Amino acid sequence: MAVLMQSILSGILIGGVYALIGIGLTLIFGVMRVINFAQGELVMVGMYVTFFLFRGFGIDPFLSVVITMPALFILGALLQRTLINRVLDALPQNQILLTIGIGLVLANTAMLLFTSDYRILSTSYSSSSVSVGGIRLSTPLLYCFAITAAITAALYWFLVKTDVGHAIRATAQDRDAAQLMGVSVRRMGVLAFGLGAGLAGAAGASRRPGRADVLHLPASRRRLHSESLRRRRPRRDGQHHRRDARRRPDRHRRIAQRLLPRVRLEGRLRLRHLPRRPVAQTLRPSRQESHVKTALFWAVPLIALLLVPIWLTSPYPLHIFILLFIAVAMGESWNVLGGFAGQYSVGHAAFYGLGAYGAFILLQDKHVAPWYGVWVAVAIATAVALIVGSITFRLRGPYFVLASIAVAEIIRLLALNWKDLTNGAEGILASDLPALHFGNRLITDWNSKTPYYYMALAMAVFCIAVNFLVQRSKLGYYLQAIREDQDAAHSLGIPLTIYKNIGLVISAACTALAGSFSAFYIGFIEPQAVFGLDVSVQVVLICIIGGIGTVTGPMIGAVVLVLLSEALRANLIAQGLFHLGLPETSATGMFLKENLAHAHVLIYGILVIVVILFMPDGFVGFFGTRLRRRASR
Amino acid sequence: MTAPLLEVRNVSRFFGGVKANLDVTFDVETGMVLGLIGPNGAGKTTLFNCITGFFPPSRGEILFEGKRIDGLSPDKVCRLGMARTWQKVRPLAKLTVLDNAVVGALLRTKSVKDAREIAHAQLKVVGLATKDSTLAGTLPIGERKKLEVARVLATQPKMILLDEVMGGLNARESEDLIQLILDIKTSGLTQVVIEHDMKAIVRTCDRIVVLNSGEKLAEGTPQQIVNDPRVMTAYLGDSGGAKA
Repeated sequence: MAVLMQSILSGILIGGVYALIGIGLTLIFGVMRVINFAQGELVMVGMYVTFFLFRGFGIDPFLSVVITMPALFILGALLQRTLINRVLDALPQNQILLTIGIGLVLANTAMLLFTSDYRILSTSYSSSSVSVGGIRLSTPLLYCFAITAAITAALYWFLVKTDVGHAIRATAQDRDAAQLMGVSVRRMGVLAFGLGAGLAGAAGASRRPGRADVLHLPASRRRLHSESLRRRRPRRDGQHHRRDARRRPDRHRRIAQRLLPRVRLEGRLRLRHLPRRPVAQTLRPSRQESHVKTALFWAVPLIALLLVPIWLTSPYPLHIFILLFIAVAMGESWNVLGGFAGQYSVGHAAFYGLGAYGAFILLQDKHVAPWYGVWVAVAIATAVALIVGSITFRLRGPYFVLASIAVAEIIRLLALNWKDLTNGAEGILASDLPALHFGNRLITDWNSKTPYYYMALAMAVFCIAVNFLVQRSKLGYYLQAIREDQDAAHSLGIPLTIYKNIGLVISAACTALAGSFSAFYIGFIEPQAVFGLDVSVQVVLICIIGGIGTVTGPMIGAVVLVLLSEALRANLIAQGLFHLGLPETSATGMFLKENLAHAHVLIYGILVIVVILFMPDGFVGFFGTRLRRRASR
Repeated sequence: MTAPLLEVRNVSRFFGGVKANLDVTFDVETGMVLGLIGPNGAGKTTLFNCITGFFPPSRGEILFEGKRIDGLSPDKVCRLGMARTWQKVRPLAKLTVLDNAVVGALLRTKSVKDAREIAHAQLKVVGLATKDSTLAGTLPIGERKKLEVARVLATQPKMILLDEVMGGLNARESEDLIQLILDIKTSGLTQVVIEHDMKAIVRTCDRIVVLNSGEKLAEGTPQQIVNDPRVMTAYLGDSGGAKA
């Protein structure tokens, strides 16, 4: 009984902090209809500010709320004015991606500046506690609750009693009406975002400076990971392969850690259809255009790619090509659902991971060769997709996005905890692939990258072909109609759920295929690396950067992302800057050289922000429109 | 006399305590144009939503070709042959005008090629054939309304429901649409139109149903309705003399 009471009370006290974060989130959503996925990062910034105030000036963490809150208010207001304001009329999905981008930038900047080490803040009362009727409550937690309660009360007073508070609430109820009543809706947006960020800051400042408080920051599981890597068997392909395998899961973890707190959401959310800006995006060749020309256009690069391994035998370039093909396959897979049907799934890691785990487990436990196992895995992913689809497709817009994230997280946690099957967080290391025979002829024993190259190429071409076929079929028309206007589509006789599910199934199956392949290529899987939110985000990024809803978009996006991340990894950018005359020995030079290689997630974040703000239709939309305009001149 | 194409029987629709429709009953005969009029908030669009399956009626029955359709989903209703346009136009903005109509035409065919032909024919009917490769989102309002009609026609329906296709249009554009409704009528297609412009209603409709505060106030030929004093009061009383 006492334990129960203890848990309940502690829960309530800790809940106070979450409530503060939640209130900030609802305030932002209420006033601007923007779901702020960077709220967790703002909390983190608040924590850092508090930490450094304590470290540098000895200011008590609870006292520092007075500084942290205004500081975060300013940061929030700035973010709103410079970035969020520009996308208020955009699709809710784009708004979400923008805030995800902001989150990535904030978290990775923090990681570059402060590294991913834990910072521990302990005060004189850190481990003290009070005893009330046999129940012990930690003092810091009590203080913390008192402060959050006070802030909440103050906010309530502000919103209910003051003129500005009225204006904010009016804006939340009806933007247009508020504007007509003379409320500066823009300013209210800035104010709301500032307040929301300020609350996050306060939450960060007061968050449990209890038992040696830990800043919840990136890569908290880094140690664990390096252990799992030590157990890795050395790969045949030597250096490049290993380097890749090490970085990938590591990067996965780092991003994911930062993304997790974002999923907590509170408050009553309401859907609102925002007006869409029609943008020239039809890149489909017109009917009259000869099919021969189109075929040639695609055949030439395909033949070139088929010949690549003949004159390119060193593993590294082939490795990059393989990564590229995987990225293309993933992007094109997502595009069927996200691009054509407009259902922005940020949970495709679920299918990617199911493909990877399915085929891996079959090989490991049942000794099923991957080229059979893959199809079983794809079937499993398809089945899961159908279940997921029938549940989540009741939701629209941002709610679907959130639901898709939740599904991937559930499956990730399942993989993490179902240890008998998945080996938990330690992951599974692929055993040697059995040699592939055709009749009696040995086709490959997987000792070089060339077979992987051709398989990846085949997979990418397959996914591209799927997109082509979808786009030109009834299914493609129906999916696009659903993307443009669900009610209109419904009224034209389109059964929404059925078609959305068809889109999801195709998309999930292709994603699972890509997941299986890339898992076998890397040779090691663990829940975070394949089910992590960052996998899902990366897939979306490929399409967003290239151009959603087009067949070429994901290809371009994949090229941009893969080349960029490889360039960063190989430190090409820093070296380029040195060539341009940046002194290598200067402080900046040293810093860049040291850190740029780890900054690819930061660069992704910046890329997302830039793309969403300046070319919401991706490279294809951006340059396509420009080219057409020039042509028509 | 054959059974009516559409029978609306004692249909009521409540939103919480609000009675959007109460006990509305009327029939639509094959080939006729029925006008549905009433002051703002009379429940016309709600009735359309009930008939086309967007929300099921709280009470009452709706029969199409003698079969119950209340409670069916919108896509099923459309497949049975009843298609509607939207008062607030809903173009598929990033698709071309032709592709908008193709989406409608695909209801009855699997072949995109066939659908293109059907779609093209319907665009000709409404006079948008020359604009077929324009993006629907860039059309001016008058043409968007026509596109709505073309898209609905492309589903090859037995009956269409037009929700204020003339709303917000200038005199010339309205004239175009009146002509369009009359043309469609000549082709034998049954229509239910919601409209505010009495002149347009009188010119196009065979029969008129007047709704007021969710209930059917009157029904009759255009002549009867125009001379009905209750209709006058309803309009003048509720909307202060302003024609909405």
